[in-house]
Amino acid sequence: MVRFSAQAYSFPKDLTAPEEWEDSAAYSVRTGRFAVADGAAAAYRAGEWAEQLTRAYITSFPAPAGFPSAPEPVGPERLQAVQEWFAEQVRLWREGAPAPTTWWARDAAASRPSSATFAGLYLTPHDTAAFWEVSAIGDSCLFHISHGQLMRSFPMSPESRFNKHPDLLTTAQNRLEGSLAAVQIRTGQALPGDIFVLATDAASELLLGIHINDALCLGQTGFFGSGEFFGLMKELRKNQAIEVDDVAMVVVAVRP
Amino acid sequence: MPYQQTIDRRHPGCIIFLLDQSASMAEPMGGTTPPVSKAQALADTVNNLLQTIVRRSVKEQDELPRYYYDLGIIGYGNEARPLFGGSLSGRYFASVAEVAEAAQEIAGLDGKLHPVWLTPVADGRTAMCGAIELAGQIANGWIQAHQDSFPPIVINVSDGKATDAKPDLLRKAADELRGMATADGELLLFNINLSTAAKQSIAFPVDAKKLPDEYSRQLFALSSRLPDLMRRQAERRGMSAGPDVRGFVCNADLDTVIQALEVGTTLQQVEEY
Repeated sequence: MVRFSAQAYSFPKDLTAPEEWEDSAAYSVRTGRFAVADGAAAAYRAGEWAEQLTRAYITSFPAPAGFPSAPEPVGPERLQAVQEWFAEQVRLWREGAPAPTTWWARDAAASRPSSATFAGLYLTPHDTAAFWEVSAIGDSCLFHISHGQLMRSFPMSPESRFNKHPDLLTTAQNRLEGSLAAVQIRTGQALPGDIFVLATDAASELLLGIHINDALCLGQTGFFGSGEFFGLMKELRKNQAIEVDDVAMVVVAVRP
Repeated sequence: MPYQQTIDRRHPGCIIFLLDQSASMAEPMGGTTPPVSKAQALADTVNNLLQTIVRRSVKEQDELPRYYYDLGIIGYGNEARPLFGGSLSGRYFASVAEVAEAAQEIAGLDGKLHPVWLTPVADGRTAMCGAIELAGQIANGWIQAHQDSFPPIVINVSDGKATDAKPDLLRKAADELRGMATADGELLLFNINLSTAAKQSIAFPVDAKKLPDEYSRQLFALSSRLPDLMRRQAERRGMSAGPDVRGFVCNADLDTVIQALEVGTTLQQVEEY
């Protein structure tokens, strides 16, 4: 049976203001679930919403029906089950939302509902391979790297353009249908030695750029020491090679 | 490239409103049915805009709005004076959190409570030049403390000609104001000229020749070019805004005033989505 190892990384948009952090990363090697989310900065309580989503994913996201024997093509039933899970997270969020006590919190809660992009990876180990399923909304992204080559990026591709208005999972009841329609799912198979990277938009854009310009370099992606990652991000930001934004990443390795 | 700095707590933005409160502001505003005075329409519009700016700065449940903006409101009739009331009375400038706390909550026609800062005033002459000079004093102090921020934005809304200075003096005051700068660019001065009758609004013109009279051409000359960020905001609202357009609106009806104010005050926050 293949095994997994994982590491999460974060780098805030403002090193002097950690309270501005609005991304989230979470994983559970035991349950084979890994997730990142990016709280929309224009939204109210966006960081908390991003965190609730990633935590909920690793504890309660439903397993695909066909796992662990084989990955099934994504049919309408599976898509509906995933959409229902996201809708349930919105319902739980709305039920648990504290009542605002000031006019500005009331106003922000009503007009700027909490919203986030999201990417979650569900891995199921098998004897000689792992089956994977990714669920995503917006431009938080999954990268599957095998033998140093980018096998797939999803939902963004090297041809995609990142912009300031990605699809979002919003907690506004009247926009929920649109959010759920933006849920995308893909499945596939991974082999020992393969690497997955889940990343929020700034890091995703960087990784896709690296793939286009230096595919070999992307193939060297792996685990970093925490100090090493911090230093790398500082250097990239100093050289304006990455957007000034929160960065959340989870790197997952498939082991024999 | 100028005008790139995003708004965050280390780099707050600065927006100063200069609001005409002269006697002619009691006349009806173009584009309002039933007729509403220009003073009332302007107070309502600026109240709504302040609410929007506060809203953009609210992040968490139990916090004050974050320090993303300093805001100033100067009214001018016979003289220029600060318009904040309540706990901010006499202040030219306040942080967005202070502005939020100073709001009065008043029931609107919809029966809901709305934050209100300004009440309509229409009295006296048009001390526009004094207001521009006062804005210069405020902006100068702010710039000294915020050299790395997006430069201050000054938005002047008026329905008439300055009565406290001849055109060349007004132009000199405006030139001095626009000459102030942070490391991110020169101060932006925008002018909105209110319409009484239902005349055709001209928003963000590129060429003074198409303006209807000498006075509009003068205000055009006082106005800064719109940075790309704001041109995109204008285009998003369906307003034509090619390169080199000025931050000037002529014969603005109510809808155009609202749109122009939104364009002029939407900065690239560490938000956008």
